[in-house]
Amino acid sequence: MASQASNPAPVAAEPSAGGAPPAEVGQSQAEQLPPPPIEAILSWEQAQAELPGHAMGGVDWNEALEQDIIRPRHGTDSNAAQAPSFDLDFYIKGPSKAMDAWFPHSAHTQWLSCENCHGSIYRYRQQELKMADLYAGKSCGACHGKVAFPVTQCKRCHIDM
Amino acid sequence: MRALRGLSLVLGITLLLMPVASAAPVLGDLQFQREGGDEMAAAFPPSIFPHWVHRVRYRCDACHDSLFPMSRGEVEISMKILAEGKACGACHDGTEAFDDSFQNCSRCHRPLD
Repeated sequence: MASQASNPAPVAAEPSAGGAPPAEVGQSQAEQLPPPPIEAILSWEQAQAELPGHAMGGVDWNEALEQDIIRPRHGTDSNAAQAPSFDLDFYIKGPSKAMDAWFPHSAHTQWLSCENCHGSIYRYRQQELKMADLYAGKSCGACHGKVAFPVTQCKRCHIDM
Repeated sequence: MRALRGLSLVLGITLLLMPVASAAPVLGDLQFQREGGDEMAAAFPPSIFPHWVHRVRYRCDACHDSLFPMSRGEVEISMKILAEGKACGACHDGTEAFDDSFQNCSRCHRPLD
């Protein structure tokens, strides 16, 4: 997450003899910083006002990461905390260039571990992907439309449409 | 007069749409369905899960799939299970997140916003 690294820390780290405290094992970069102010908000209306919106509707959660508004932590899995984001971004080929779908691994791995999708939702290698599966809550539809932006926002994936 | 009629038409549509707009649930928020429980339990709404509150604080993989698989309805959740430190109880223990003491009941057992 290069963009987070370039942002200045809004609150100074705890004072210690050698400057910044050493990272604990299993702590990611975000977890070494204090929780951001938005974590004090418990009302959606107030939180929504603090979060960046997307031009096609809804919250732009990855932009919220980029802007350092949220610093979501890993759970107890120390391996997850050490895992860097995975930057294999690619087009899923469609019947025409306009129907190609952009899949940024980089955006997904800021939230998810490999095995969240691979093994259960996808095999590790390329496979056929159909919109019908998405509408049925499978494939990308396992999350998109339920907790991530809905499949009705076509151009967020079909970026050349 | 025509302008006024136009205005009232616009207002009419706006008022008609407003309740729908305010009732739109937040994407990802859900209310669990209660299975079992006694009459006392029935007096409380079943628990909600505001995905957004958690997403502001944690990555998806903090809970998925170690505590909860991606698909709904696969994990049994009860106050007893929470007390064992499983499911929500992995964090909602009074240290990492608020616990199940009496002042906190309605933080989960309430209608979805």
